[in-house]
Amino acid sequence: MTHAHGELWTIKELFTYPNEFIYWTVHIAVYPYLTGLVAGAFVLSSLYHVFGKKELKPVAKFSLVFSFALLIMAPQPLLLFHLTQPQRAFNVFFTPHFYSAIAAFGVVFSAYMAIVGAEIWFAYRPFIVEQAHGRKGIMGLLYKTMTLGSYDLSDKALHTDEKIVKILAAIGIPSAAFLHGYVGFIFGSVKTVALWKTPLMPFIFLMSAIISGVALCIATYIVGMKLFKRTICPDTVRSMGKVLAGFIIIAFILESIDIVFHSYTAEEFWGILSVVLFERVAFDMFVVQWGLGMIVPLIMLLLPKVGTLRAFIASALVLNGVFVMRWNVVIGGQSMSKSFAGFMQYKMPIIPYNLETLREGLVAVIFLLVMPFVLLCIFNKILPVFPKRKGITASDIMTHMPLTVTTKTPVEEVADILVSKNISGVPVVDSNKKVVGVLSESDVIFRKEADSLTAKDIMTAPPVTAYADTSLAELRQIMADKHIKRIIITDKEGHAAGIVSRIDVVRAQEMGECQN
Amino acid sequence: MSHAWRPLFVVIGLVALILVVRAIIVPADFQAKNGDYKYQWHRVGNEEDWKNFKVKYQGRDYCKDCHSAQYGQATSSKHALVQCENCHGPAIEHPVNPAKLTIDKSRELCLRCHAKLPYRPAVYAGLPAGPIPLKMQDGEQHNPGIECVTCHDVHRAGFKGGK
Amino acid sequence: MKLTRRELLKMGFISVAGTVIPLSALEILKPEAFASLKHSKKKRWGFVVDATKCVGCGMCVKACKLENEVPFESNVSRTWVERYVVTKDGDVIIDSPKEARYGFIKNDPQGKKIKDEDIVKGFFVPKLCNQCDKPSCVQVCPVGATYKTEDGVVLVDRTWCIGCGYCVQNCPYGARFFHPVYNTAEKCTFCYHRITKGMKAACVDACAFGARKIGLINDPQSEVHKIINTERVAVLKPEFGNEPQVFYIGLDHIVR
Repeated sequence: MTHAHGELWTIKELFTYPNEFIYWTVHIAVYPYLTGLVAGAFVLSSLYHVFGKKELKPVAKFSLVFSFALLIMAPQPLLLFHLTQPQRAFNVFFTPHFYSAIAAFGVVFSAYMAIVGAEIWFAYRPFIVEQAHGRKGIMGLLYKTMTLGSYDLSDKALHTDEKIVKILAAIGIPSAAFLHGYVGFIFGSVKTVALWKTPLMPFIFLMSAIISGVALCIATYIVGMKLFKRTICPDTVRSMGKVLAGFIIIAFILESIDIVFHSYTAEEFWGILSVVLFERVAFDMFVVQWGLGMIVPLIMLLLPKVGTLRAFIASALVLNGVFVMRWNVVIGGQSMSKSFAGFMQYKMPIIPYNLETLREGLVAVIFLLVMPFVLLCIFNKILPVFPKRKGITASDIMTHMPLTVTTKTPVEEVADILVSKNISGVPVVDSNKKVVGVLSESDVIFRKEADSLTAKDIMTAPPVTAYADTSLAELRQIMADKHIKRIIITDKEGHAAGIVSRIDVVRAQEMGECQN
Repeated sequence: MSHAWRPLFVVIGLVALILVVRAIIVPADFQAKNGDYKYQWHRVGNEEDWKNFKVKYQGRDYCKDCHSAQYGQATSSKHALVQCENCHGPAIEHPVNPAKLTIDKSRELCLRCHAKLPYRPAVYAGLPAGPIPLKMQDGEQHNPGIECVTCHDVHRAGFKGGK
Repeated sequence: MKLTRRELLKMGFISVAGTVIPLSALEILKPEAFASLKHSKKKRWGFVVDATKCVGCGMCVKACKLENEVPFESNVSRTWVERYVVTKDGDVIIDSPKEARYGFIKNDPQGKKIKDEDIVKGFFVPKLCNQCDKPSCVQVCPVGATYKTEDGVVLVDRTWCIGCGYCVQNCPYGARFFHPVYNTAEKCTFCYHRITKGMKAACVDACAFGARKIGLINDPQSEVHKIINTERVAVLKPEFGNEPQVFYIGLDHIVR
């Protein structure tokens, strides 16, 4: 007997139209899930690139590359497994029918992929060029191809790169929002499925996308750092946690308002929809999706002193909750018959026994959920996503471009500067801008009383200086040996490049790699 | 600034590639007929494909010439509106293909119309001669296990051996 | 006043655009435009189902599946017959066992035995694709694999369908499914291969009770035209705005 598509995993109850089956299965839940992770991961990386949230620097490149890996996999549930004619997938490019909400699928996805791909290229260009010069064989060839023929690493070019990364990250935010809002529209515009048809759907999908993406980045960051035995920066985790908590609140409001509205207006379909919500998916929806997936993590993140373990558990709960939410929307939406007189249950094929159950079953889902991590590992081999572990040097911790005074500056003016800028010391430079001394609070306090003194008269000279590449240990040693509170950092010509004070050293010892 | 344009060239190249492949693959008659992109965006040739779909149920005029006796009986009986092919199956290209039709003589076939159901219309109003009661039997009580055609003559909608 | 060529072109463009755009906008707003749409003489296929005449024999379903090569034993069908039974307790029991390809030969709605005296009303409702004038299934096809013909029949191009199922989801009537053999979206074609040859749809021919009628809606000679214009007819789920073109006699509020 020839079975109908959908029949193998659909259990019908009461009256459903004969042709009704669960046609959109687990893959249609996995697809928005992956897309959501893309959008969330990208937004996280943009928080650093665009809004300069410095504490997110350690995960900026990682979340960018991860979002690309997820992006590659996001359409695969549809292209590889869902379409009954996957070999014709490109028809969407060839004869798009833009009245269909999914016709723009190819365009939107490709455009977004181009943006993320380009941002990665610009962000990694110096590294790619360096590798192209240094590596031989296949990898060398790969890097040479990746340079796209441009080896320009001049200051001007690098400055351009930085600017473009910022612009692309800025364009990327609305694009990510559009990408996922668009996925929400695909569902929200299906007028025949009562649970889907709401103008809130794009926003509901977008918010849940962001929370899942941020949660995935937190979890992966923590696991990754543990695996590579690197320091987990508490500020970074806390900052991501705050972002997560904020979006959970918005997501929860949107999702609940939708249900409240349906129940209050109580249209014809509410009778059967309420049975679906309060009986058939009640546990998944109110316990797993809302309780464990939103409310519990929110409380965990809002309580003070968020630690690594708590952030990880909260993220894992959110990830689980959002997946269950996708499932409830996709499967729950279809579980009520269009006849309003019956139900359909979805039994996901676990052990495949033919091509159809292989394509639409657990095996395919595992493949889809594992692949982004596999891709991330491969990408990491080509473009390292975490900054190289290196010793901390003066340039990492110094105050850049410090204020200077000249030898001729009157002492009163120096005192003014120290007070108004709230600093304890300042380098003194000569007419050639070379550092010739240093003035501290004590020099000013314990100066001899005399008229018309200048900086030159009371400064400590010659000053203790070091270069930008001086290691943290050496800086500490100098401070200890010479009993001084600050070291002037100069370039090779003796011009002031920065200043390292004791508190900078203390902070560096405290925070290790997390110093930004 | 020159290097900054290179990713854009890659994108333009890919778009060009898709456009070229599109020009090769998409059938020439794929169009929005009558300018109606919303409902008539399609490969026009497909309309012919459907028109050329093979007819299987030929209608009883197809049977008339060879089986004129049965045709005459049936069309003048109370089964006048029942098509030959309802019981004999689709003629397709009979007698070439298939050479013989399989006749469904099962009780279940007759019961489709004649089973007694409380909500089945009791009057049959379709006949040109005027309304008659729809003959209904309880399939479980009325001579169970015997084919209806043992006693009934379907072509005449009466008893075998009767007029 | 001296005009450069550029200025002249610009002025010309603005004046042309200025006249063309408002005129065409008015064209759309003219009430006659709407009226002519409603009563156009355009050739358009329509269908009438007289549910009061249906006895639930299911011969239409059998003929349809065999005529249109939808595997007979598969649990999907281009047309089907629903049974509605209302009991004394007010329960509404609906079913369509095996799409009614074997008809209804027992009083066993949803496999339950119900005493005759407990039934307050019951009837059969044949269903098929409504060949909507504004088919939401066509609107959502991402690749142009399904379309409405000029004479109003919605068809699927089996060589172009990618099988995403979006059209299946967007049909309010459950008329679409995947063909078990071709694995592309499948639906009633009003027997396009028959009606374009002057024949009737297979289900119409197979119905001995005159419950199904097919014809040109705007042809004053057609029975379909006469019924729609002289009798009280209803359509299924008008609230979806699809403007279905299958008209029913004898619908009930419990029919979805």
